[in-house]
Amino acid sequence: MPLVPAISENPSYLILLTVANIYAVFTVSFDILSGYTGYVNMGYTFLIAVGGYSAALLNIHCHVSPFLDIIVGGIVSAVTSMLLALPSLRLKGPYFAILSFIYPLIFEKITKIFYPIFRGEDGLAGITSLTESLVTNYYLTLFFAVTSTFLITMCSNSYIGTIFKAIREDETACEASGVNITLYKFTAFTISAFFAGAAGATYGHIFTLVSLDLVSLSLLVTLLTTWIVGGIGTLIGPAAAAYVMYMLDEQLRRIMPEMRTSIFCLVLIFLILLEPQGVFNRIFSDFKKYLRQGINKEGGHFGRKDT
Amino acid sequence: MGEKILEVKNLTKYFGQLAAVKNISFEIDAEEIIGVIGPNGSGKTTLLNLITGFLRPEDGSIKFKNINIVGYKPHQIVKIGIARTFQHIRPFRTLTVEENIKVALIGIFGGSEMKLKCEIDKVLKFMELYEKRQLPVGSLPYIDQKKVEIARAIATKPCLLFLDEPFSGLSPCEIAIIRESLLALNREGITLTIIEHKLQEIMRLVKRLMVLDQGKIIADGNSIEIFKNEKVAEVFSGMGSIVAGG
Repeated sequence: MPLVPAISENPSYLILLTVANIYAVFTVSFDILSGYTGYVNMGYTFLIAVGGYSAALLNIHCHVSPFLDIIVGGIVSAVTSMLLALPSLRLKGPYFAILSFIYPLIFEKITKIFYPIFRGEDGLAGITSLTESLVTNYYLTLFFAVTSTFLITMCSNSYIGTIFKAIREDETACEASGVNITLYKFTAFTISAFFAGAAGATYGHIFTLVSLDLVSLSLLVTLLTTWIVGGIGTLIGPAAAAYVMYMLDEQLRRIMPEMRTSIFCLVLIFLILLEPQGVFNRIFSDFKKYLRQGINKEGGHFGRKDT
Repeated sequence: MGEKILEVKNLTKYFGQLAAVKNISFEIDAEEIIGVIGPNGSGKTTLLNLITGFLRPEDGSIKFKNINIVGYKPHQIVKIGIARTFQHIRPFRTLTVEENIKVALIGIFGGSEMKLKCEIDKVLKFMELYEKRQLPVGSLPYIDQKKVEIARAIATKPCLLFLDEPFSGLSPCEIAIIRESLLALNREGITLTIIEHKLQEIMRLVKRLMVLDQGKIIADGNSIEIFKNEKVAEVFSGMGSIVAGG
């Protein structure tokens, strides 16, 4: 992946891969909340948009540099999620999903009502590009994707990740084990929202525009499909799947734009029915099993040697 | 017997018009083993949920070591030294045995890995789960899942442990294993309150029995003598043979 710009000088491929890097951040940060704690955030695109729009406004009106802007976008999104978490955390399962689904719809209305600020369906244009070079943009977003995935994976492998998984399994048992579940759910919300907002801001600096595409249903469907394809609660799986699914999404946009979301919905339905643990997750675990069998056959380091 | 650690006074809880717990008062001394028995719907689990903060009473007080804990959240109650298990066990099935214990330890002591490892090993060895520590709990037999549930509760270092039907679903051999673990816990200084339907098993463990019926304590005293009480005899008339068998 890092050598792609060296072998491909086609700008459209570079932009495609740059955006795929951002999609990887979207799916990984979605997974740490929805996959680990079990709170499926159907309003996740709202957090992307909050980061994207706040960064865009700062950049356009206050000329804040793109790098600082991305961090601020993440912080604004994290703070917003903290405020929304207060009512949302009381709800579970379908009630939480329904409530969170409403947030992007409200956001869309607000951008239209306050048109002079948010420019409704036209979106906010004139954002400074991340850098002038497409190759540099690609590498910077790749660095962002790798760092985000690394940091979120570190978090998931720590005791915080263990508590997140325990919350997903049984909140009552968690409380009975002395865990302040509200605090940990709050943490999961904030981590997820920070990276979503930062990725939304980066998206704006790549396209030099943010629009209601960021809260569109098609983006949510693409993210959900990518999440399922990658494997719920695996982090690396959704990150890897982001590249494949975004490429597929773009190809469909060119070939049959009207059918794109419908096709993704169909894929989503089939995956939920046939491979709920995720295609990438299956490939990874089969590959691991294959490697383990190979080592054992050869009486390798981990295999039992017959004497 | 030690000093008084729990004092419940005039505890009342309604579900709509129904009084699940009605004006209940009792005390528990440190290092006691108490049995709580009663027919279905008598208010045993409601009483446990009230003491452990999962329900809030309409009236009354619950003092643990002289602190009124009414209004405390469940995790705060665990932190001050009251732990519980559930009637229908609730282990984290996809997590390993070790991770299950870790969750309880993190809740109490935070995330210091070195300290956690040392404490996890201690608890696992005590409950004879050390060899199975890397296995997901969902893959274990029922008896081991019960042990994990108890291990998770004792990992919080409680002074007072409530066990909701710890023997249900177990064979006589398995019951004996759990009984020995509970006695060992009591020898370590943990006060045990056991809610149980299996009268003959609870009679082997406790000296004091509390009998609940329709949300009220109808008798509280020596586990042998208590069945001479007319009200108790009436409530348990269908279970006389079980008691005698014990």
